[in-house]
Amino acid sequence: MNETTANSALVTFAIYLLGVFFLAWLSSRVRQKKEFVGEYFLGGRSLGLWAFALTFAATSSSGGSFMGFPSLIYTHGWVLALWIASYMLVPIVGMGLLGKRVNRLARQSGAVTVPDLIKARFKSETVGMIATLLVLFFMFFYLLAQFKAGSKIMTTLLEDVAIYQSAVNAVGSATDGLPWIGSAEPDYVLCLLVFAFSVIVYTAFGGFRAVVWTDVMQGIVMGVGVIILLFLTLGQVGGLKNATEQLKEMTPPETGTGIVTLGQGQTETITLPKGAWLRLADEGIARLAEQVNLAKGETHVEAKLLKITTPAEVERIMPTDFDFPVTAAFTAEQAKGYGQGRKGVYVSAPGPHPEKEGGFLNVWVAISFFFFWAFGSAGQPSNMVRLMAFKGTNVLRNAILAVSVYYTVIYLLLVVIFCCARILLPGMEVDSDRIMPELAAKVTRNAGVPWLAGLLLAAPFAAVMSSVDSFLLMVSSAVVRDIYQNRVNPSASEKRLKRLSYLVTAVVGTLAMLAVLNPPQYLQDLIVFATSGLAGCFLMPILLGLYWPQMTAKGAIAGMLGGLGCHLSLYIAGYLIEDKFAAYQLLELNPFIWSLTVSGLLGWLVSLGHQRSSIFSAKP
Amino acid sequence: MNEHSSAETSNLRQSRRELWLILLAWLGCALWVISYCSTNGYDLAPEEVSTVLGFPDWVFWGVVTPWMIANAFTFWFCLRFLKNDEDEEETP
Repeated sequence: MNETTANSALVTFAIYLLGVFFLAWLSSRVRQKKEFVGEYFLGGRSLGLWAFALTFAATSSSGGSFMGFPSLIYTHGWVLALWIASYMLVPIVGMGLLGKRVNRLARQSGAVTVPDLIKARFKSETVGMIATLLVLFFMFFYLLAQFKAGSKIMTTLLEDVAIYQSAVNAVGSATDGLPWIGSAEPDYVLCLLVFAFSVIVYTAFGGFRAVVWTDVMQGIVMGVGVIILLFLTLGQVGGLKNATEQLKEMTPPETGTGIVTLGQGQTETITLPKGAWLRLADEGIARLAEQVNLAKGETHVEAKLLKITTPAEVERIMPTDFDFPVTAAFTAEQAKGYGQGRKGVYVSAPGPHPEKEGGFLNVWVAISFFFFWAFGSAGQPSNMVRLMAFKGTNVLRNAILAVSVYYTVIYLLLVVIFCCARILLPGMEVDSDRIMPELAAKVTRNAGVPWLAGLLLAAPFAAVMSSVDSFLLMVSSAVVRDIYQNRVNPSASEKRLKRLSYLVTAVVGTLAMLAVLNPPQYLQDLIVFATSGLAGCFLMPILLGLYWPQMTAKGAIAGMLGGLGCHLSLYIAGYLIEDKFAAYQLLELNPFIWSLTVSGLLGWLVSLGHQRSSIFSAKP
Repeated sequence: MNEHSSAETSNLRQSRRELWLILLAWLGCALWVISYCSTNGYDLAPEEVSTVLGFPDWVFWGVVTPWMIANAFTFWFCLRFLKNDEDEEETP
C-alpha cells in the first residue's frame, strides 16, 4: 500500500470508531427508563426489518469472510463457488427453520438467552444449566479467536501508516522485558489494545441495541465495499469473460528455495523486503517469500522463493528495481500436491493445492460444506438470540428476503472479485491473507481514487467487530442472566443487575484480551472447533423441542451431551491419529455431521414413548 | 380442546409444513449442485471449460443458476407459504 492509501485507511478507521461509539451512546439513551435485563441483552424484542436482517447477516460474516475467504479464492480459484454454494440457502435455513418457533417461545416465556429458552421449553433447571455451561465453554474459545483476528486485520491494514509505526515503536519500548506481554509483537499488542478497548466499551455501554445498530452500520459498509470493489476490479481486468479466459491458462506457482546473489558487495547491511520480485538465472521470475538481510560485504543468501510458472505472467512481471543488481537461482520443492504444471486448475474443481494430492475440494468435502454452512448457521446460539428479538412473522418474512439478496451480493461477488484478483496481483501466495487490502489499494490507485481504499478496508474491520460484540454479549448474558439472576440472586435489583452487566462484559472482554496477548497456536482451528461444537450440541435438541411435543428434558440433555461427546471424541481421535488440533474426518465428512446425527438420535430415542406436552407453557 | 391448544395445534402443523419444505429445498439444491458440479466440474482441461456470462459453464449451471432459483424459491416461500401464527398479533 502507498502512503495515501494507508492514511485513508487510518482516517476511515477513526471515523468508523467514532460512529460506533456514537451509536453506543445513543443506544444507552434509548435504554434509560426501560426494564434493564430484557433491554440490555435483547433490545426489548423490538427489532424491525433492517435491524434484524443486517444484525443476522453481519454477525454471521466474521473476519473470515473478508480475509480468509478471499485468500482461499485467490489460492484455489473458481472451485470456491462450489465450496460456498450452500450460502444460497443459509437465509432460509438459518432463519426459517427455527425463527417463528424460537421467537414465539421466547416471547411467551420471557426468555432472554438461549439457555433461558431451553429451560422454558423443557421446564428443567438442569437442562438450562447444561446449556449455560456449553455456551460459556464454546463461546470463550470463539471470543479468543475473533479478538486475535481483529487485531491481525488491524496490523495488516495499518502497517504502512507512519504515525502507526511510531506508536508501535513506543509500545515496543514500553513492553520490552515485561512478563507475558513482552514476548508478543508490539504491533499486535497495540492493535489488540485498541481493538479490544473499542469493542469492550461500546458493547458494555450500549448492550444488545448498540451491538445491533453497529451491526447495521457494519453490514452496510460490507455490502457497499463489495459492490464498489466488484466494479473497479471487473473494469480493470477487461470483464469477467476475459478474466476467466486468462485463468484457464494459469498454472500454480512453485514454492522452493533459492540463492539470492547481489552483483557486488555493499558497504552496509542490505534488506530485501518480502514480496520483492527477482529475475532468475533461467530468465524466469520469482518472488521473495520472506524478508532477507545481507550483512555488509555479503553477496549470497539463501531464501524462500515463489516461482511464477505461467508464461504470460513471466513476460509481464518486471523485477523490483534496486540500486544494485540482484539475481536468484531457484530450486523447487518436491511437488506432492495437486495441480502443479497443469493448466485449467483455477477454473475447475477440485482446485490446486500445494500439499493435498486430491486437490482443495473433493466431492465428499463439498457435500460436507454444503451441509455445514446451512445447518451450522441454524445451530449457532448467537443467531438464535437474534431470532428471539424480532417483532413478528412479518419482520422475519422480509428479513429472510433481505438477507438472501445480501448474501448473494457478498459471497457470490467475492468469488468473482478474488478470481479476478489473480490477474491483477500475481504471486500473492507469499502472503495471501493480505489479498483484500492489496487489491483495494491496487484498484483504487489505478482508478485514480486512492482515498476510496479506506472505505473498502473498513469492511474487514466491520466483519470482525460485528461478530466479536455479539459473542461478548452472549458470554456476559450467560453469567448475569443464566447464572446470577436465575440461580444466585433471583430478586436482584435493576441497579445491581445493571452494574453487574457492565462489569461482567468488561471483565470477560479484558480476560479474553489478556489471554490472546500471547496467542496460542491453532486459533483458526479453535473457530471451527467452537462453531461446529455449538451447532452439534444445540441444533437438534432445540429443533426437536420446538417441533415435537414428546421431546423431554432427559432427551434434550442426552442430545446436548451426546453431541458434545461425539464432537470431543472426534477431536481427541484427530489429535491422537494426526498429532494436531483437528477433528478426525470419519468417512471424510465434517465432524459436525456426526455430532448432529448422534445428538438427534439420542434426543429422539430417550424421549420416545413419553406423553405429549405443551411446547409453549412455561416461564423460565 | 380449548381455544389456546387448538391454535397451538394448528400453528405446529403449519410450522411443520414449513420445516419440511425448507428441508426439501435444501435437499433439492444439494442434489443439483453436488451432482452437476461433480459430473461436469472436476479435472477439466482448459479447452473443456467454456464460459457463460464470464463464469466457467459448470459454475454457472451448477452454482449460479441454482443460487438464483433458491432466491426465487425463498421469495415464494416467504411471501406465499410462510404464515403468521393463528393467534399472532399483526405487526407492521
